Amino acid sequence: MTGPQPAGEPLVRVADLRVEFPVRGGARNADGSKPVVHAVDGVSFDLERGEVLALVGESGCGKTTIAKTMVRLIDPSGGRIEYRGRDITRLTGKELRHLRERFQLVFQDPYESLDPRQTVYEIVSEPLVIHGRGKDLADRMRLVFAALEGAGLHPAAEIAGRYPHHLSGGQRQRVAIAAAMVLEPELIVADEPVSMLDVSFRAEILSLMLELRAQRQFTYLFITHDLSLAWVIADRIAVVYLGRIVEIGPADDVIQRPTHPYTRALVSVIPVPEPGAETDQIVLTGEAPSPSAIPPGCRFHPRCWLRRDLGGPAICSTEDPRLAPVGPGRTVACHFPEGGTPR
Amino acid sequence: MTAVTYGATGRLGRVGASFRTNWALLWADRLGRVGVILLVIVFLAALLGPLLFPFDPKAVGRSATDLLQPPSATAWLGTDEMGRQVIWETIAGARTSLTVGLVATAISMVVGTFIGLTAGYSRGTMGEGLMRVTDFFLVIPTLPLTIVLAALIGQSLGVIILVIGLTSWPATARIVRSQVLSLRERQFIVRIQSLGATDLRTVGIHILPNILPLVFANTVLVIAGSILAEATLAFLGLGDPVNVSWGTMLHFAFQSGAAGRGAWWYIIPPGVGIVVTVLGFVLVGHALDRILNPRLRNR
Amino acid sequence: MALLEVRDLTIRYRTTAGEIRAVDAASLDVDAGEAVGLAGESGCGKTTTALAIPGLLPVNAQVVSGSIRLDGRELLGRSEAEMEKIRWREVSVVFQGAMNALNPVRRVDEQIAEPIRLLEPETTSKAARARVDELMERVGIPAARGREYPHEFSGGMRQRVMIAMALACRPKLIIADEPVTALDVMVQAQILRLLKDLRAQLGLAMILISHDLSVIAETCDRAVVMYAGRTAESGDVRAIFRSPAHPYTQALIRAFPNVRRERTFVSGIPGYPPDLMAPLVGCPFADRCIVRIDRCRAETPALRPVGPAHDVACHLVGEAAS
Repeated sequence: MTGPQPAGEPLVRVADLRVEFPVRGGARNADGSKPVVHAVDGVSFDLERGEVLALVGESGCGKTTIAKTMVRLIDPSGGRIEYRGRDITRLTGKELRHLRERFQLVFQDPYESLDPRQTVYEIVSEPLVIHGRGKDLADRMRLVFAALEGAGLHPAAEIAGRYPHHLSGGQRQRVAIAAAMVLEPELIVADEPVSMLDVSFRAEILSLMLELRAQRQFTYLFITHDLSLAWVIADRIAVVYLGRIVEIGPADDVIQRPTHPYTRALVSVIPVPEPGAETDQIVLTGEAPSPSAIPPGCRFHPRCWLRRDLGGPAICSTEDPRLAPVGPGRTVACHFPEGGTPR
Repeated sequence: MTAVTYGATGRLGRVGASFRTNWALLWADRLGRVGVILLVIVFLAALLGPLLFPFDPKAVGRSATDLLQPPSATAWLGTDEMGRQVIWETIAGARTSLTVGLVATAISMVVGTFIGLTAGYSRGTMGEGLMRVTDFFLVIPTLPLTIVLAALIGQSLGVIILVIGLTSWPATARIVRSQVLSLRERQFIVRIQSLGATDLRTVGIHILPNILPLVFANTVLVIAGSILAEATLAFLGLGDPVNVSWGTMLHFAFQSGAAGRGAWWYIIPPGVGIVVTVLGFVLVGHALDRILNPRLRNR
Repeated sequence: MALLEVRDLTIRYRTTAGEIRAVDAASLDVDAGEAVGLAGESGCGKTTTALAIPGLLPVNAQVVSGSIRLDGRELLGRSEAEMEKIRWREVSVVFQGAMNALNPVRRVDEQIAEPIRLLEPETTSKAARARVDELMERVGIPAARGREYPHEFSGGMRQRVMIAMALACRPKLIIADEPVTALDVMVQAQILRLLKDLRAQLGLAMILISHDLSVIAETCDRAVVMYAGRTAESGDVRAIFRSPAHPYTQALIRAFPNVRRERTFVSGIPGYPPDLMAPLVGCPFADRCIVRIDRCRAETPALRPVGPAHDVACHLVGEAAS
């Protein structure tokens, strides 16, 4: 983990990441091999410093697994994650601990992510204690209070003495953010940070996250299944399906001019607070197949409406499309990204 | 806020405060209060009784008429088959029964909690291996083990304590393990691991305090079981012949034919002693379970 | 006359800590075949209001006053035995988190048949089988899967099972409590479309409870927005969303992104909902309202018309504003 990076380099570069889990106690495949869940099946993307990249997709698509692998809560089965020129997938011991100071995770459930037996002070100071920051109690108190204030909790000294169950959901999430901030990380991976909060409290947490990005140069990997939320907060959106990124590009572009048939279907069914605004909805039938039985060729082809419209071209079931550019900063993994014009 | 609220002293202060709250809740619980009162009586008898009225096992009766006498002005609970006063025996027996119960439970809880924690937190073969060890000890029958050990080492309190400890820790280990298994997957534990906390820290600071209430409630019930176990083993003749306990009293009562001769004053006091003590612990244990359990699922 | 008429319903919860004003003078109309959305955030009283209809409130709930008329018949005050005849046969419920409400050790087709067996015991098993098959087809479950167990179904499929169960005895009204909240957006679209089709085919009326205004905008004909137990705004869904009159409704709509419009950041509402144990003084939204005046803190606004099929409870709007 050497010194400052050359400008223009992405903060993190993920290359062909794979995460596989063996299926326990399942029957063997037809060819005798043991079934494996390909939770992440070859994911590559760059995370630019200071950006908010949203990973969107339905449950089971692998977005949470990608997030956890970035912070080494899960070890990948293959591929590279480069940070400051080093591949962090191989780190152990002291270097791994250093990484943990730089990459923080904010969880979904504000009621579950805090130890009910710890006070707010203990929760926020624990990262300092684990990594040996702060010379003494007074120094740590100073850092903790600064983090609490930075997360919008006032008066910090009073809140620090309270227990989580005395705080509202929004306040608890702020505590979780303070605990993530206190080590001054570079990357924060936020897994559905507002989905369990009441709607009227989401904006303040989202604004807080953006403010912190502006003030402290945080970079965010924002995991969500809520496409409209990603549209509002992210700079770029990556759409994940069955362990693979199928489309990635600027947030507004991906939502307003989606290219991949899966993205187009998802975007068409996003509900809006405007009666009568539904345009032609593309409602896919069935649900995504299990990641232990990924379809051959393009993994989306069995459910793809575009393939049907085009008369079932053979390439979709035989060849796995790679992510390829379709515009400035936009890549799509589809053989017919313009909806009819074959590549 | 002064610095004393934070750091280690702050934590101790908060432990003390939660102790006081739980105590108040225990007292407010009707059955819990009854249990506490019963235990206070028993403990007072055990602690103060022998000090005020020491029991001398050599103070045997001088003539036949002193033996197995019904209660009278001189002997409030009558005499046993050796002419000794049943009341002093009963009070002395309290001390023995409680000692065995508490020490055996202490061994059982420490071993059981430690193994349960390790088995629940470790993944893979370590966890499985420990559970097989637990299963092994779980199925050991108490009585044959006592007989074998008594034959090898001799009958003593130590043997009884050892046997009860060895055969009761598996139940605790299983309870602790299942609780740790569910705790291990909770988001705050995963978060703390993602921060880089060592396993020792995770278990010691996060998991242990969250299972302690459960362990504590369980301990009280295990004490009740241990006392009953001691009484059973002693009654069957495997107790310490030198130290009088309620179980040995019952043993000698039956051996000397007290039941046949209608010497109820010899049988009832130790029986009542056992019942009262066990009931006291059970009532308190269940009350603690009621108090502490809803808070385990903190929201 | 509407199929369901709820008038001035007031419900309290008795707890060891005090009394909670869960619902305060709520009114609601549902016509046959119509979908009415009950909107609001946690604790606003929407679920309590709806569950009072089939009499499914918890023991510590007390209906203080008000009336609930189904087809002209008063439901409040009826005995449990009488309510049992109404539940499932006239009004049925798809509960929140329903997909976890299935019995894991019984087959799915048996569970769908259960309401029929229990409530219409005179039905022969052949007729019941036929009904179950028909229901499964209606909700989009392949007939062969009836023999499977709940854990073999996905969340969306289990929700379909719950809907089939709710339809088993041919009710006139379904109450769906957050039916799509835990589901992915595509499965959500499938279920909402299913509900829409079922309503059209069976002439079913529906009360849809949701904190998600977008879902209500998409599926309902009319909506009732609740806040702290009181009705803030109610009426035709187009009127409410196009020209929301209550400051809370306006703020709440702004909290939901609209991908069909310009990209603006969502806004929130500062402050917290009021303590429902304290007595109500003035408008419950006053503390957080950006346009409040003195009158708002002193006087609780009544629900008044502000347009055809559009009522609001706010001093600054409609007839009340002068």
